Amino acid sequence: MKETEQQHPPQIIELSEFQPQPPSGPAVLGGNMRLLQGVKVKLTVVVGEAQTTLGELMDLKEASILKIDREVDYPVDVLVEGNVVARGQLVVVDDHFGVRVTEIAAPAQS
Amino acid sequence: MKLRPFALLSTSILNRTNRLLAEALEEWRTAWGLDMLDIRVECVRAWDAEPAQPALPWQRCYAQGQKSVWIAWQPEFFRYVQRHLFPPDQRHVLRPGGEISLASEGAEKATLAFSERVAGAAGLAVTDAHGTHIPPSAVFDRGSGAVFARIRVGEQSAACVFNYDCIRAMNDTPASQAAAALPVADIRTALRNIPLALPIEIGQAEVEVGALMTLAVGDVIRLQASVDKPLTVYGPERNALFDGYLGTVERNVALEVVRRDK
Repeated sequence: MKETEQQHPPQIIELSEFQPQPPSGPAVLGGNMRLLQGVKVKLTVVVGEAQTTLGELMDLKEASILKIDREVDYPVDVLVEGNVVARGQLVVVDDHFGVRVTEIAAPAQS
Repeated sequence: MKLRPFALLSTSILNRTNRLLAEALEEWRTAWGLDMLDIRVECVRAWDAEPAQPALPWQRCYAQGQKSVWIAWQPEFFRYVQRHLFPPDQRHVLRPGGEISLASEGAEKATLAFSERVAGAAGLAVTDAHGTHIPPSAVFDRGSGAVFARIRVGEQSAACVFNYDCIRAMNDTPASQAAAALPVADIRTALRNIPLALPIEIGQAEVEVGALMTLAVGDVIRLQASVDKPLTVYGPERNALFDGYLGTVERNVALEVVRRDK
């Protein structure tokens, strides 16, 4: 190690200033989403909304019933970052809640 | 800290003040037989008034309670009125050092009546014996509520300033009253009707982009939430409010509230 240092003494790296230019040409990843397949995404499953008021919330007691704006046979929404990407039926999977997908949002036309 | 009110004078208030002053001067003109003189009145917010050129000397001030009006007219105003009250006749011309003629006495009374009519438009009849004839600079401050009126009587200029108390009285605007005692009110009660839409989440799952891209109908996504545990309802700030079990009420999905375990 010491010999290497003597032969090639370390040099400090200096970063050069970029001259920004408008990006051009095709996308570097070529639209290949497979390269990002491993990125983790958080899904949220929402059954609906409870339309209420501050007064009603303040009056809530144990065993109070809060009505949700969905009928029993209406599917639940699967959201990614606030966007509904799919719908499905509520199921049980290994003592956990689960969603069996019944509908997938059509991709937006680019 | 003493707060000075900022009076917003609407065009309708200016117009009404203008009309009252014009009517008062019309009465003066008729009473003194000066129909040959054209009288024009223009009322503006005092802080918008351009200084008269040449400056008009302030001649009189009327005050009563909080109300004040200051009146200015040209020094020639008196002789001008005299000329029109009495046709040119050398016998009636006021001579320096001479006796006061009937004509000059009449003109003096007419000029006095003029200022009384201006003050009368604001319901004032008493001259301010103690105050100065010059209006205080505060009446020309922005938002003072005072009105400056330019008056033309034939070829003569006059002006007056009505302070805000005069303007309020002339326009039937009651003085601001002390607020009544605050009734008993509870802010919590006032807030009761604020609507709120609470999204009811079943749970969350973490998936890879690859799995999401190939998601198909029939696939099952397993959530992290256990069916044995109640759902947690979150507030707008993503703070947990309470828990609940899913159920149905009248064919609607519903939540039975349970207290959150501390």
